[in-house]
This record gives sequence, structure tokens and C-alpha cells, in this order.
Amino acid sequence: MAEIETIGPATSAQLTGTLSSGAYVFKCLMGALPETSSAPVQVTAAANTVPASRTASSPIAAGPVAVKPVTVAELAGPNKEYQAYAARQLADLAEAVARIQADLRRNDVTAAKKDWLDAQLDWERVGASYDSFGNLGLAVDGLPDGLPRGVNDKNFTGLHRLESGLWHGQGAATLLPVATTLAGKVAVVQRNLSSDSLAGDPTNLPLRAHEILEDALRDHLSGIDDEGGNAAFAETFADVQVSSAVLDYLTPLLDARQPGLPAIADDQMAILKRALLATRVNGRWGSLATASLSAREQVEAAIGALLETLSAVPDLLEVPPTH
Amino acid sequence: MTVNRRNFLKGTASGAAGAALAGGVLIGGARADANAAKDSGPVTEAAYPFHGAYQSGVLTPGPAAKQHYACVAAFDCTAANKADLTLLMYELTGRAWFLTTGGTPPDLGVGQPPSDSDVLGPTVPADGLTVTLSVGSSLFDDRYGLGDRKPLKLTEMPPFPNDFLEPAWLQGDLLLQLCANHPDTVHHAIRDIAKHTRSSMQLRWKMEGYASPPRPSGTARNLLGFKDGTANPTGPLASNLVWVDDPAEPDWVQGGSYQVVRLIRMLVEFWDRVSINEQQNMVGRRRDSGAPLDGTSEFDIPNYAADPHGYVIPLDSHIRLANPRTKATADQRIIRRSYNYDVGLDENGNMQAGHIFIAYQQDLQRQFETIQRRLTNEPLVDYVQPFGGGYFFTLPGVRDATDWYARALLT
Repeated sequence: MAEIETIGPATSAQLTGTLSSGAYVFKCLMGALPETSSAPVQVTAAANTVPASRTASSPIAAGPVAVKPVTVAELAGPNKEYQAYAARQLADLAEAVARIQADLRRNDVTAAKKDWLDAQLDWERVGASYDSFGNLGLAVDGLPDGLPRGVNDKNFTGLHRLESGLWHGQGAATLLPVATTLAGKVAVVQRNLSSDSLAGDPTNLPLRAHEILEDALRDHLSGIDDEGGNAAFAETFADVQVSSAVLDYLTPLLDARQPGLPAIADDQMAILKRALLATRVNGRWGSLATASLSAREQVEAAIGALLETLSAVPDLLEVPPTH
Repeated sequence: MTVNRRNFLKGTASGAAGAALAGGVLIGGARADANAAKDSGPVTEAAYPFHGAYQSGVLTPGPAAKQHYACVAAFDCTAANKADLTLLMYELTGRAWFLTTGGTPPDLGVGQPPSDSDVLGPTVPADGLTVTLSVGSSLFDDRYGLGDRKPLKLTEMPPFPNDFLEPAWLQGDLLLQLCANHPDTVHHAIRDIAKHTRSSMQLRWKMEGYASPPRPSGTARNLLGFKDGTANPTGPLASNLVWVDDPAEPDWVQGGSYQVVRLIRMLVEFWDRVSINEQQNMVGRRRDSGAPLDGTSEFDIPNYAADPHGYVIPLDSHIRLANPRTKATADQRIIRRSYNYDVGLDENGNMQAGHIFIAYQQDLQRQFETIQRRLTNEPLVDYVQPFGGGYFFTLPGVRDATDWYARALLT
């Protein structure tokens, strides 16, 4: 019902919880010491003083919810399913990068652009959001922002480096080494996928369910990670696909704690997909700049509502600290 | 510390109305006192009523005593259908009621992120917040089947001569005017409202504003340095000019008001390079005292009949064109409840600052548009550039705990 995760020796902090009326005792489970208990404390019910909000449109019921703690073991199975999904996306990514290399070898920049989009979307579907794949993830998908020389920095590598070059007139000869380096990095990711610094840690899975789409809103729909490919809507669509898979794997654990949440999120994902598809022009993905204001507002409304729902997932499935 | 006892008592009185909120109200009351002591200006209240025949934020508080901070935020509705639009109105009613009353946000336990941002601390003070909801003409298009219920006078704002309208700053299905005693309260309110309504409405544009205190007395000055709002109608006259009471209008429209919002860039650098005589002739008032050019103090009434050729107050001065003070123009007057804004720089390196013109009236065409047409090509147009805003209809009040925004429109 309430928690304070960290409280230092000889410090105090306030813990706010909502309890029904009754008698309560405080129990203390200090490390090596025996359990101690307080005398019973009586709680009497008081009227709710907050004006009643009509929250018919709010997917989450108001009021505190007791949450059944989740264990690492319970998350291990879903995380294995996610790893298998991510491994399939990585295999597709490796093939797409190989196609880019072949395109560049025969100096076909048009084909390389098309295959770059395939590769970028495969990578989105790996679900390596919020830099959760560490430096290896950055080598595949890093941005020039924050590097001293920006797009010209030698540490700017990977998919966005290719995007930047392809859409800014760089020749195949310049870009082929970039693609080759990328292929090597993707192979390393494939080999190490189950390590804790990539997709191995099951406690990261609930975060992925929320953060992949936070990244889509933060980086794609803002235009901040667009190096010329205009792929914001396409990338966001791919992010919905992987989020949907992650949510599927977590659905039994979520339904046991917040019944109905996965179903609401599913509906909201369908609405978001429809809004994204509505931005397409003549069967092709449009850009942020060419989409109408109302089309963008529909996308923002749909992803915003979905993120409010998904924001509960990491809280519901947070593994409590162990002692 | 100087305590304004009168206001302190008012603060506790409104606290008694909602006993659970006394803490928040007292905090707000003390802050309102601090403003009063510092500025010797009109005293804002710690809370304004949410329920009533009319919405707060128009004449409650009125322009002369308005809160010091504001935001006008236009939204487009993304609600899928009329049923979803109705749910949006429930939600907006609940949020506005809570935010303008204050109180402790619900504890959602450990299974969700916190329900409130804590920008205003664990207990949300009302802090003089008013939330005033208006609708734009686009809400009455074919999406929600409301076409036959459109307020008679509501249109899109047409471009006027000398306007420089930018689509990104124009119109909207809904407009929220948020006013409060402190800017963090305005920020908190819009953030809270957006969080609870994401699927059904999306921000289209917004502009924050601030009100100046009297310098040194009388009506507040705008960023041209002139007192602005001296001739605002007050009391029963204001009520008679503002609230719609027209049998020709749909029933649900009665008790609402037509709202004009104009985002007006003021070319303050250029203005500061203009002689004081030219400035005063453009406005029609003395800059120091605010007196009409034929008077000695701010609230002297200009006597245009005695100056038919405009030798003292030029015929094309702003105050003379806007309000000729004749019997025929008496019912054209509007209530202005404007704020200053300051947002950064223009491309040319000028400060981007100006005026959020907000006006309320019974009839857009009889009042604002008639005045605006008279003002066409006034000399002042060289120094101001209207670039955004729109026409809106401010809904009638939410009458009580069983009522909700736009109920009479949607049922």
C-alpha cells in the first residue's frame, strides 16, 4: 500500500498510506535481529475530502491499490519470451544490414535508403529503449548530439550515421565502412543478447513495456533523432509492435494485479496504430512535416493516453528489494 | 509583516466553506496579502467559486482585480465521437472543480506513479485559480453532430486589415483560460488537466501571461507603458454587456459569453523610439497619469463633443475610435481582461513581447467587430502585430455538483 525504499540509519521520513479502519501493529524486521512488534494502533475511518472527480474516461480506478509483489522468477519466463522475440528481430536486422552493404558495394544509394528503413525498424522492434543495451546499443543506434564534432564525430556510428550520410549526399564508398562496422556490432549484440547488460535482466522487462513508447514520443515524434530519413511515424509503429509483444508476455502478471489493464492497453495500441497508419500517403510513410496538424494530434492523443496506462506497469511489476 | 486584515478574514471565510481545505486556503490568503502589501493594488482572493450561473474568470474576479498570472491554452478535440466528448466534459469538470477548490490529491498506492506532480506541494492550494472553458466554432463541424446548436454569433475570427495571422497560433476547438495568484499554480493546473484528458484533446497552442500591478496607482499599464483598461465597464453595466441573454440564441447559450482572444505582438523597441507626443496622440491619453488628453486625472471622462475636430484628442486616437462615448456606441462596449506576455526573440532580434487581448461580450459582431472595424488603420497599427487567437464562446457556469461543462449543449 505504501513504501519507502531507502531510509538511512538514524534518519526519519514520512510514509503516507491509506488504510481502512482497524487495528494495526508495526513490525520491524531488522537484518540479523529478531522480529519486533509495536502495540496495536487503532485506525478509524474518515470521510474522503477530495471532491469526487468523474473519471469515467480514466482507465485506472482511483484509490490506493494493494499490489502483490512480483518475483524475479515470475519475470524470468516472460523475459525468455521477449529474448526470443528480440533474437528474431536481430536476425532480420543482420539481413537488412547485409543488404545495405550489398547496395553500397554496387553504388545503389536508393536501394540502401530503402534497406536502411528496414534495418532501423528491425532495430526498433528489438526494444532496446532508453539505452538499455548500453554502449553496444549506442554503437548500433547512437545519435550525434552530445558528441564534440556532431555528425562529423568519429564516434558517431551505426544506423543513424548511415541515415545521416544517405540523406546528405555522402557516397557509397564513404558509407560502406560504416555499414560494415555496424554489421559487426549487430553480430556482437546477437551473441550477447542474454547477458544482463542487454536483455538478460528480467527486472528490466516491465520498464520496457512503458519506456519503448516513451522513447518514441521523446525521440521520434519530436523529430530529435531524425537524421534525414523522416521515419518518425514508421519507427513509432515498430515501437508499438514490440511494446505489444512485451505486454503480451506480461499480461498474466498484470491481470493478477490490475485486472483489465492489458486489455485497455491493447485497445489503445490499436487506436495508436490506426492513427499512425492514417499519416501514410499513397501507401508510404509520411514525415512529421507533411502530416496534417489533425493527423499529428490524433497520434499524440493516442500515444499520450497509452503512455498514461503503461506508466503503471513498472510500478505494478517492480521486484521489491530483498534482504 | 503587514497583514491586510480584511483579506485575511475573507481568506478564512472561504476556508470555512470547505473545511477540509482550510490549510490550503490560508496559505493562499497569506500570499495574496503579500501581493497587496507590496503593490498597493487590488487584492486578489485565495479562492473563487467554481459553481454558479456564470463561470469565474470573467467578472469573478473582474478585470481590475484579476489574478496576476494567466495562461490561455487552445486545444483540439481528438475525442472519437459525441459520447467521448461528453466524457471529456465530465473529466474537465472534475479537474477544474478540484483544482479551483484545492485539497489533497488521491493516494494511488504503490501500483502507479503519483496522482499529482507536487509542483504545489502535497496539498494543492486553490491559490485564486479560475478555470474558464470556452468552445470554438470548429467544435460545431460534422465530427460531433453539434452543427445545429452553434451559438448564433460564433464564427472563426476573420483576418482584419493589419493582422499578421499565423495558423499555428489560431483557433482551436476549446480554449481554457487559467488565471491564478502565482505562475506555478497556472502551470500545475494545465499540466494536471492535460494529463487527465490526453485521449480526448490535445494542446494546439498556448501562451502564458502576467498582469502588471498599478504603477504607481490606478489601472495597470500594458507593455507600451500606458494604463490599459481605464474605461472597462464595471458592476451591473459589465454584466449587461457580457452575458448572453438573447431569445434568438439556442437555450444552452444563455448565460455564456463571447470571448475574443488576440495575441498581439508589441514592437516595443520601435515604440520606445517614438516621441512622447506622438505616443500620447496615438493612444489619446497621457502616458504618465493615464488621463485623457483633455483631462487631468485617469478617470476623467473625455469630452469629445467639446473637441469635434480632435485638436486635443485626435479623431484617430485609439481611445476615441474604440469608444466614441455616444449613445449609439454605448452597447458596443466590451470587457477587456488582458495580460502581458514575454516569450523570447523574433527572427530580427527584437524582444517578442506583447499583449494577450482577452475580451468578453454578448455579441461578437455588435461589439468587438464593430470596434475593430473602427480601429482599422489607426496610427497605432504600425507598432502592434496581431498574430494569433480566435473567437470562442465561453460556456455558461457549472451550476452545482450535479452539473458539468456543456451539459445543456450535449444533452
